Amino acid sequence: MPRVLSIRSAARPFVARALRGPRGRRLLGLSVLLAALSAVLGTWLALGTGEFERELRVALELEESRHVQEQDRFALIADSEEEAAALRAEVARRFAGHPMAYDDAGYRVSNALETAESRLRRAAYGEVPRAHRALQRDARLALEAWSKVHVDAGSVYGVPDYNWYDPGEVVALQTVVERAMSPAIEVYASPLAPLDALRMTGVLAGGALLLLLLLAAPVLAGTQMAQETHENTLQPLAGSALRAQELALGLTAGPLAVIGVLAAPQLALLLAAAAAVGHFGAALALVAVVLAGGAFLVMLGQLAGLALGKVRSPGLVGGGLAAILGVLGGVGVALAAELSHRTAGTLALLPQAAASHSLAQAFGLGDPAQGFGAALDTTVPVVVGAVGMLTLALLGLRALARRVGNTSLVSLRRGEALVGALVAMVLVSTANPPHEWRAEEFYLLNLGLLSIPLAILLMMRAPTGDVPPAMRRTPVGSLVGEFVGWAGLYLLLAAVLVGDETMWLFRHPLALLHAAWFLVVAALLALRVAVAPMTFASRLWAGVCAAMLAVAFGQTVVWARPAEELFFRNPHVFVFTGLSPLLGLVQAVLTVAVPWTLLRALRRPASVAPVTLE
Amino acid sequence: MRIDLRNLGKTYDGDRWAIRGLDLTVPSGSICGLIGPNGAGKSTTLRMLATVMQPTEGEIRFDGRAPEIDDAELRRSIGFLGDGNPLYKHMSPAEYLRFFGECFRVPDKELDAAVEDMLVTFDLVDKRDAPAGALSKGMRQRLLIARCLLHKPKLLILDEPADGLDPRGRSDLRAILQRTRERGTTVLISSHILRELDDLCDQLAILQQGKLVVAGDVADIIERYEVRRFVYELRLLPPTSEGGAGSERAREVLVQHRALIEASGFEDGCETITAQIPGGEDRMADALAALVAAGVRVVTCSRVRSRLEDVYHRLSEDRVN
Repeated sequence: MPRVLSIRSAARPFVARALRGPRGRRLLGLSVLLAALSAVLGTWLALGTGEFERELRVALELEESRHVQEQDRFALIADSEEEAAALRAEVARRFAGHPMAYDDAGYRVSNALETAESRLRRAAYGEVPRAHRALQRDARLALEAWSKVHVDAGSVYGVPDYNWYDPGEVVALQTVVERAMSPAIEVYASPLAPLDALRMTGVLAGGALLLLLLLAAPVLAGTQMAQETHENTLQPLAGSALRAQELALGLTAGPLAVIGVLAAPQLALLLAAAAAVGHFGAALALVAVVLAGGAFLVMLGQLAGLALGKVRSPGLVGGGLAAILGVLGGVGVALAAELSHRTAGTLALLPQAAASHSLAQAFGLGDPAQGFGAALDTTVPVVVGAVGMLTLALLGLRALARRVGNTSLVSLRRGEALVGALVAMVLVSTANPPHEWRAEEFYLLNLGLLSIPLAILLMMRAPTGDVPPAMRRTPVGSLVGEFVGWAGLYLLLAAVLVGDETMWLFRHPLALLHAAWFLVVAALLALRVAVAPMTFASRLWAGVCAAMLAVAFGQTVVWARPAEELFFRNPHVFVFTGLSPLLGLVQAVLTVAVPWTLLRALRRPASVAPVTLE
Repeated sequence: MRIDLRNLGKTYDGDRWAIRGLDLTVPSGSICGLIGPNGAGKSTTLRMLATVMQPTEGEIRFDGRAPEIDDAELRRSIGFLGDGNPLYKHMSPAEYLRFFGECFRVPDKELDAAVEDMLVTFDLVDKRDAPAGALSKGMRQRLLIARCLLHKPKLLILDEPADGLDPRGRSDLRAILQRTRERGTTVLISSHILRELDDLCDQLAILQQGKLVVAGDVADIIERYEVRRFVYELRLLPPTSEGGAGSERAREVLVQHRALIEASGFEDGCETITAQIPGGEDRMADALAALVAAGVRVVTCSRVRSRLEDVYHRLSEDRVN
């Protein structure tokens, strides 16, 4: 069967199942409702006059704050006709020579007049550029008219000079002079035009797309997979006429169909809005990023659901995924909002950050100089990130096919895992690029970061097929060798990028020993978690092992320093010796006990779980 | 579909074998029962036959063809009901069958008719749109079996299919399996309830501790093991006069002939006595003559054929001995 036809026929039963009967109609209704909501909310946020939407526009830097607007335009902005009438009456009272009223209108008018008078007073005295001499004279006259006191030219001690070189200040002064100290009274209206409503609709549709593909899709896919595993409904599917690859595709297509129905109108809105009032290229980049990032996260969610579904309820798996992805989303948006040259690379690592950044670029949100990094060229991290995520998603699909079809004991083959490791290296190196003066911040920090994806890849290399856990044989030596090989490859690449003369890790045997212990134990711990069953005690012990890993990494960083610095600092071989000799002894014992216990559990899994045969 | 298993074995750790050295031929169009205690390797064998598990050694041939890895084409002609097969609780029987019909690539033109046929065959028409979670255990089991037959497989593999079925459901299942066989489908079935298989199967394989103990035609096996066991059922009329020879007298005579009384009862106006008489048919002839001489009114004396259960118990005893 041709590939495209095979994919279609594999996806069909699962898509039909996901959208069957009234579910499909309800979903379609919800989709239309969500699209309408985006349009209505967008219009409301762009043109609404309420405080909430005004604050939001100010936060998104689509509008100046009311205070700044009043200062710039020498105006008082009222929320209603009644408030405007009160302000007008107060202004009239003040010009009639009455004292200020002690109410809100009184205070506001008084503040505006005092600010304007201060502006005139500062402008009336001191040196002035030739172009603004007439304006200074008019300001002096306006001040005399207001204060009924003669104002001399020249400088007066204690009055700061006026900032004649700020065009905004000059315009504000001119307005005060022209209005002869009488502030304009305006009823508030959104400064945005009706076309901006389309822009806001595009922003909201993009946000919805981001939420649907980077949060809802992985959570739904992971939960469904956990449910299939938990209720053992995968077995009859594995015995059907679908190949393992088709089955994995179908299981992915089902939840994606639900998300697709909800996302399609939002995508149309986003592209239409970007074409009309935004940057279409950036919008396309957003779509590419959410698709690639979403594909990667969906695969990750499904693999997590498959691994955890047997021992945890689907609800718990879904909740956990939602919490993790929610936090990652928050971090991503925050990173995108505060993007700088130093942090621009993180867009490669966090699809949520790249998507938020592309969305802001598509509709020109934020301060071009800082917020969302609109002025930064982020093409490289965004493209690298999207390609990397897509590659990892494809590897994830292969692993998923092997697991659900039970066609192999390992989820990834050696070559595939190596590709995954290389992609992880590229992504991490893009996120934290080499720095000329701080080589250790590059290669050591990246090594620490890389240990997590490499450990996940190693777990997928471990034999975990449909075999009772206690009966598995794990080729520990070769798998640990693979893991250390990936790390070695990364260090080699790092040496090429920063030059090995700055990599002090290779210059001190203790630094190398700590690094080697860190890598070997990280590999053993990953294999232990993947292969042998976990009890409460073994989970506790795994926590101890993880803590020891953190300590070992810290010690690697401490010892990977120039010789003169080490001489000056004189660090301990076991860091806890500095606190107490007893603690140092405990650390030394754990240094031997941790790898030994992990090895024992891997070599004799029956010692941690009884053998059960069906 | 003819199945040939040659030296089939499965081990999970290279040391302990779930099943090993299994040689078995199942002729096309037969019903083959697989019996054995828990842990005998029945489910493992059936999974390998359903191609959802790879054997460690040996080979399986389906109509002379060895399966490939992830052989979807072959699976299309197999219907497999594994152990502990749950349903999607929110799907109705019609939706469930349609879903699996599509997974088995049943052509669109035939799918609706096939689903309808299965709903009628398995008496699920009234529940066609009810969520599967609301069905009784028996109905769920019927639905699972319907799923296995939907795509008209050439080989039907059922692991404990009678679980959860009431007596009527079991009787219906037997009828359906007979009909399935008549269509030329080979059926492999495992069950703990040996009476279920007794007059259903024409082939039998008994597994114990991962090894094949005996296999072949059911009648042949029973015949082979029957020679060791001579059980007769006697039907006696009540005595004509008070104090005449009745069932009590008959028991006395039988015990004198070293008979072991297994059961007694009353049926169609006659007393019945089931007795095992060791030593061959000569001994029974002597006992019968003695009964007649004692005035016992014997109407019939028939030899009781051994059942699968008897054969299985006999084999288990041999194994223990």
